[in-house]
Amino acid sequence: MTLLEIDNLHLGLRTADGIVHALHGVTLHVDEGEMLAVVGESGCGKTVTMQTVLGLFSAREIAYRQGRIGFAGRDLLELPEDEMRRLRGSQIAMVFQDPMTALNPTLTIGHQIGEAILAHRRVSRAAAMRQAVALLSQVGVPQPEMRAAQYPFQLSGGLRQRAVIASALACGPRLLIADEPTTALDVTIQAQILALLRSLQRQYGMAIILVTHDLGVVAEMADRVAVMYAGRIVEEGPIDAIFSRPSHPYTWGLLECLPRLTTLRSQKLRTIEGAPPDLAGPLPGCAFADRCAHAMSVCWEYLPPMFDAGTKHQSACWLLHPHAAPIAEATRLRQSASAPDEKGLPRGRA
Amino acid sequence: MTAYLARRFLLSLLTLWVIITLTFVLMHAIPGDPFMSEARISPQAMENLRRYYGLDRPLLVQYGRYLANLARGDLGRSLRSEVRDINQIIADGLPISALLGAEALIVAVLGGITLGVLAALGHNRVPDHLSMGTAIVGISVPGFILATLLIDVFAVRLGILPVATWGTWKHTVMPAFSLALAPLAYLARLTRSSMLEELGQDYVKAAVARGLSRPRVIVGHALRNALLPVITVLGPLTAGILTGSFIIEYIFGIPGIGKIFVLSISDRDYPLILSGAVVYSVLLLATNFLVDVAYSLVDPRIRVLGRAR
Ligand SMILES: Nc1ncnc2c1ncn2[C@@H]1O[C@H](COP(=O)(O)OP(=O)(O)OP(=O)(O)O)[C@@H](O)[C@H]1O
Ligand code: SF4
Ligand SMILES: [Mg+2]
Repeated sequence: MTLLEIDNLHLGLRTADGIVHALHGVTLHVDEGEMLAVVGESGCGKTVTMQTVLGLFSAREIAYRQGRIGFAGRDLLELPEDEMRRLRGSQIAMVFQDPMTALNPTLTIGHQIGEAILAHRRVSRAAAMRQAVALLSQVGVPQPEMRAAQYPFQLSGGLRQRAVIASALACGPRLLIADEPTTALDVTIQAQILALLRSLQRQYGMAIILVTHDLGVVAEMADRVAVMYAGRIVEEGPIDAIFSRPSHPYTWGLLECLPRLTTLRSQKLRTIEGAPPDLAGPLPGCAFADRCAHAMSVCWEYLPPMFDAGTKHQSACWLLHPHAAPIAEATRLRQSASAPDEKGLPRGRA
Repeated sequence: MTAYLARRFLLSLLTLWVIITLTFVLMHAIPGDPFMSEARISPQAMENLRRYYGLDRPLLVQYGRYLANLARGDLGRSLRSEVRDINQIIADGLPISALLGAEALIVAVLGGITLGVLAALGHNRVPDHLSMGTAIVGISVPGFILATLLIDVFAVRLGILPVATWGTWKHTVMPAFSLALAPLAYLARLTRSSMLEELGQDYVKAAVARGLSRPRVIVGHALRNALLPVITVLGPLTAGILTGSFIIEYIFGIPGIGKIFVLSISDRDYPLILSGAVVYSVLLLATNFLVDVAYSLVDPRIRVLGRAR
């Protein structure tokens, strides 16, 4: 059953230099209990999308906002602030990218987990604190009682992120949005935090949106992947389809950039050439056209719609138009994907 | 934390000693002595006076004697004023000045923080412009000009407040406000920028994302941290109010210590000048120390680690 359904979300944000057209029609859904990975380069609008779901932009920051965000049968964009507040943290919770800055430096860990409970439940402060300790122990924080009484600066990055996760779990949300939960952490800690998220998902049966720019993480954990580029979802599908039959040139680029076990340390990681378009101006055609090796004249003029690329697999690229010529790159990637030892899937990496 | 505060306390004592010594040296570096302008005193009487007050002794002896008396809590005797016992002079004037200063400080702190928070919450809109307009006026108009304006309007034209001197609470309104306006304006601007910075932090967004209500996020998270820099300037701010009180007490004819010490300087009343330096230094060091205590209580990084960030 669909839990969250973002439909054609457009969003402009006010900045000192004018309006940033951050989202250009994001369409995305998350089913109950599944893990959706949202991947894309820095600045493509992943965080903005997620924070719009939670209504974290103030009316003054928003220049315009159109579309629909359906959650459990309601349109979040139409919800009054008071009901939105009751939803935040209790139904939809968020884990932020940097546990260093997402916790208030002058309040104890226990206080910050406890306040998430107190915001939604009628319990005493003492009961909330006891629950905070229990949550800390659930997310694998040793000596939870001592840690609850400590301040963020007394915890390591990994422990801090566990504390942030504990505060997100406080009211048993149906949807957990983890916005690059491991980017700010050491590599070894990253794997632990991801493993924790996965086990919590099984335990709580909640849906998770995992925002990341690391496709390797995606391959290990997610059920489905949505690839985002310049404020739009450009390809979306089940994990296997995205890795074995990617159909959008931007996704091809991302997969090429993926470090493989066979990559020598001396080899430089490949990156997609060029930079994402300026979000301050209008984008009539495909936003990837300037960087795309397969761009056709139609690409600059008309926005590619979502084409079916397989079962539950869609891609916004003119190459999938029935009249477009087949592309060698796609064929090559498909072939390399079918050869197991050369797959480039870092599945066994953890 | 105790070790940290003990260290700060010892440092305060050391500072006090340095101030006393410097004042002592500076005072004696000014040519002339207290009795020079008394033309009608015979040389013999002058000699007697100087001997009586110990001014004929070597400087080092005078200095040692002064310190020894001070340690016993004896500020000595004034050379010129009617009440000779300086302890008595201060006991008479200090409560008045302290009341005035405290009133001004409270007005400045409450008013400044309120204005600053309102400005930050209404960033770039009417409340912001109003608060910051007030603040600019407050910073650019000196207290003594404000005092004369207030006297002109409220005492002379409207006649609703007494012109000068001391007695009822009504006497304190204009001097306290004159003293408070500049620090109030300064605090308003500081609170505004500090509050704006905190409101933009991730942890504020995270608190909203946990479902906290707006007042809870603003007061329980942002304001709490925004006040840390405000607390640090309370020390210097008190200093500003203390020095401002010299001239304000003078204008309003308030018999506080400020006025007495201003007069003591033109009189070259050495013991009284020294006592002024001591009293004001003690007040300042005490407020700074209290500010440190307050700061270490609200900032866990100091409370736990026992040192500044
Ligand atoms: N609060 C804001 N006000 C105005 N513009 C913003 C705001 N937050 C983000 N943007 C802009 O919106 C665009 C999308 O940013 P966003 O943070 O969503 O990217 P992202 O995909 O999360 O990138 P990253 O991987 O670096 O986190 C960027 O151009 C950014 O400058
Ligand atoms: S629509 Fe055109 S420019 Fe865009 S990705 Fe497809 S081929 Fe490239
Ligand atoms: Mg982001």
